[in-house]
Amino acid sequence: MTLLEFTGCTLTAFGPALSMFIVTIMNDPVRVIILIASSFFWLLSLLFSSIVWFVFPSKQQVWFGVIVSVLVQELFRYFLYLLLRKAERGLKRFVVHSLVSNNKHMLSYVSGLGFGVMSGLFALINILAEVGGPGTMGLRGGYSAFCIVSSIFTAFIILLHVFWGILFFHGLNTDNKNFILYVVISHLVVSEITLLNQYYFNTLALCIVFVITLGSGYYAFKTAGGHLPIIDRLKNQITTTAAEN
Amino acid sequence: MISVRLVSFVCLHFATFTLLNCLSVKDQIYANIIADNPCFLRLNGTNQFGCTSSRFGNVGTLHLVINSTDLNWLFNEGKADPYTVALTPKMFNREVLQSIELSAKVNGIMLLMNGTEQEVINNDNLQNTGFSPEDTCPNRYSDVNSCPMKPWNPYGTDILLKSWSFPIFVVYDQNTIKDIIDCFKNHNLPLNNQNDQSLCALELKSHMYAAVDSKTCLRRTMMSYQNIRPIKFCDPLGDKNVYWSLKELRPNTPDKSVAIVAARLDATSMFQDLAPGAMSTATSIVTLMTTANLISEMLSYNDADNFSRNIMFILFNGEAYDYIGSSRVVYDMLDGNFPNDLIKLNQSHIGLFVELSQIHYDKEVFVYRPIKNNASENVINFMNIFNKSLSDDGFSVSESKSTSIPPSSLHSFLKIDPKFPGIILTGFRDQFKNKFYHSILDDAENIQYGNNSTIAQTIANISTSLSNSLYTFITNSTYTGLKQANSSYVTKLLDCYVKSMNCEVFQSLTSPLHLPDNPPNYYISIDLITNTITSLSRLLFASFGSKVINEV
Repeated sequence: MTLLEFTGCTLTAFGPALSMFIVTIMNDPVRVIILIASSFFWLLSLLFSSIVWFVFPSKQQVWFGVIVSVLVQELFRYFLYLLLRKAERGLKRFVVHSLVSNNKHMLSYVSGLGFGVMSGLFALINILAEVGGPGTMGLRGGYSAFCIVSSIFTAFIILLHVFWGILFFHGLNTDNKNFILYVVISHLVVSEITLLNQYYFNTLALCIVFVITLGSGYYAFKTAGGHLPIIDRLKNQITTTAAEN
Repeated sequence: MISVRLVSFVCLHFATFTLLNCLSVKDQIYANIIADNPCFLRLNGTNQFGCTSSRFGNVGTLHLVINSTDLNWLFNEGKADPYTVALTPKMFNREVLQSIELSAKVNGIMLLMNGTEQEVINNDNLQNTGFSPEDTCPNRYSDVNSCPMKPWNPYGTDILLKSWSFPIFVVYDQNTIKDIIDCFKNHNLPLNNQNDQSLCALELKSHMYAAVDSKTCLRRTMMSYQNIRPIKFCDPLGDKNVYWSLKELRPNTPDKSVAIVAARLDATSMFQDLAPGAMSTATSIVTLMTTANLISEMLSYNDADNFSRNIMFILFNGEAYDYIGSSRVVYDMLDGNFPNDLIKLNQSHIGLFVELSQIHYDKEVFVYRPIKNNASENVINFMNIFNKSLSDDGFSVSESKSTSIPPSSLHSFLKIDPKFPGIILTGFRDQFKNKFYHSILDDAENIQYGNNSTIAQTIANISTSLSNSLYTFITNSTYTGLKQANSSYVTKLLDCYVKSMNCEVFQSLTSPLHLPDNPPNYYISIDLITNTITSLSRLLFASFGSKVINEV
C-alpha cells in the first residue's frame, strides 16, 4: 500500500517535469547541459541561504528565513542569466545546428525547469523517503492527505519555476522591471503561503497556489508568443461584438 | 518550495519553540516503543525453539486481544492481515498461541503487563491458572525416570519449548502500554471499517540468525570464519559452576568422606534479560549460602582440619537446559578431572549429596530420595538430625512417597550410579507449588518477599538444621553451640539475589565496582560471558570461613 502511495506521490510531483524533459529537452545535449547548470545554480542559492540561516540569530521566525531564501534564489536566477548571456554567443558559434538559439525563450524555459526540478527534489525527498516505509502519515498529528498535498505543491512549484524563468529572463531581455517584480512577489507569496500548511489550511493554500500557477502560466505563455485558438476566437468574438456595438 | 524544507528543518531542531503540530515527517509516521525484551531463539541437537522476526522486522496491524471473542473476530473476519496481536498474560497460553500460529494471519505478539505485577496477577486470575512457559516435566528427556502421571509442573504450558513463527515481545513500560492501547482505539476501531482508513500497526524486530539445529548452526558459524567478516550465527550456552569447600580438598580423599550441598544457579524464561527465577532458584541459593556461612562459623578452619571429612557446596549452572552444569561435573569426575587432575574426586568419594530445590516460604519441607530402602548410613543419620531439628522449629518435614524424583541435578549423578546417596530438600509435595516456574513473574513477590516476610525466617531455620546435620556428618557428634542462622543475614542475601545486585553484601565484596541496580538475570547465557551473578556468588563463597591473617 505504501509502495503505491510512494509511486503516486513521486509521479504526481515529478510527472509533469519528466514529460517536459522527455518531450522537449532530452534530444538536445546542450539543453541538458543548461538544465544541469541551472540546477547547480539553485543548489548554490540553497547553500547561500543555508549560510544566512545558520548565521541568523533568531531561528523561530520561519517566515523571515523564507523571505531571505526567496530573494537569494531570485538573485541566483539573475546570476544564471548573466552567465547564460555570456555563454550564448559562444554556444551559438560552437553548435551551429543546435536548437538552443532558435527560440530566445528556449534558454529561459530550460533553466527554469532546472531550477524547478532541483527545488522540487529538495522539497519532497524527505517526505518520499519516509513514505516508502511501512508507515504512512497520521500516527501523531498530520493528516493522511499530507503526502499527496505536498506532491501537488511540488508539482505546482516546478511549473511555477518554469514560468518564472521565462518571465524573469524576458523582463531582463526587454528591461521591463514589471516582469521581474511580478516574479519576485509571486515567488514570495507562494512560499509564504506554504507556511499555512502547518495550521491545516492546506486546501486554501493549494487553491491560492493553483490560481497563481494558472495566472503565471498564461502570462508566460503569452510572453513566449503562444496562441490558444479558443482564446483567440473568444477575443475575436468580444472585439467583433464590441465593434458591432 | 524551499520554505517547506525549512519548516521541516526548524521543526526537527526547535520543536519546543513552535506552538503547533511541528514534528518531523518521520515522527508523524512512527513512534518508538519501549520494549527491550524479545523472545529469543534456542537450538538443540535436533530442533529450534523460541521466536525470531524476519530480517527487517515484522509489521502487522495492531489488534488488542482481551478475550477469545476478539481472537475469533481476528481469525474469521479480520481483513487487514497480517496482524500483530497485543494480549495480556491471561491469553498468553498454549491454546491461544497455537491457534494464532495456525491462522497464519498474525506475524507478531506483544505481551502487555498492564499495571503493577500484583494487578496483572489479580486481573488475569493467574494465581489460579498459573503462568509457566516451561514443560510440565522440565528436562523430561534427561531425567532418569519418566514423567509421572501427575506432572511436576502442572501449570506448564510448554510454550518455551515450541518454535513460533512470529516474534514475541513483553512490554512493562506503562506509558508504552497506554500508547499501544490508545493507538488501537483511535485508529483501528470500528473494526468493520478497517479497509477504509490508515490503521495503527506495530513493527517488531528481533531477528535471530540461528536456524535448524545446533549442529547446523555451529557448522555455519565455523564456515563463516573463513570470510573476511565472519558472522556468528549462534553461540553455545555456557557459564561456570561455582563450588566452595569447607577446607581445602586434598588428593587421596577417603571414600564417602565428602558431603555435597548443591543448588542450581540458573533459571530461564521466555524473554531476553528477564529471568528473575526467585522461587525457581534464588531461595535455594540463599539457603545454600546461609548454610555455608553458618557451617564455616560452627567449624572454624582449624577445627575442621581435625576431621577427615569435608563438605563441598556447589552451585550448578545451566540446569534449566538439560543439566549442563551437573553433567559436566559428572563428566569431569569420570575423567578424573574434578575439580582438577590432582584431587580427582569422583562419585565414590561422595558420602552424602543434599540438593536444595525450590525452597518455599511455607514451613514445610519435603524430602525426595531415589533409594527408599537400604539407604546408606550417612543419609539416614542426616535425615534423622535434620527432621528432628526442623520439627523443633515448627516445620513439618515429610518424605515424599513418589517413586520418581523431581527435576534436579541429582539426575546427572543417578545416571552413573543408581545407588548414589542423594536426597532433595524441596518446598513442594509431588507437584510444584510455584505457579510461575521459569516465568517472568517468578520474582520477589512470588516468594512474598517484602517487609515482615516469612521467607527469611523459613530459610534461616532450614539453614540452621542443615548446618547441624552437616556438622554431625563431619564430626560425628551433635552440635552443642549456640550459632544459628540469622534471619537478618538471610534478608540481606535475599536482597541481593532477588531484589537488586547493588546490595549491601555484594557491595562489600566488590566495593569500588558499580553493580547494576536490577535483580539478577538467572538465564545462563552464552559461553563467552560469565554472568554477573556467577562471579558475585563466587566472591561471596570466598568470603566465608576465611582465616584472619594478622601479618602479611
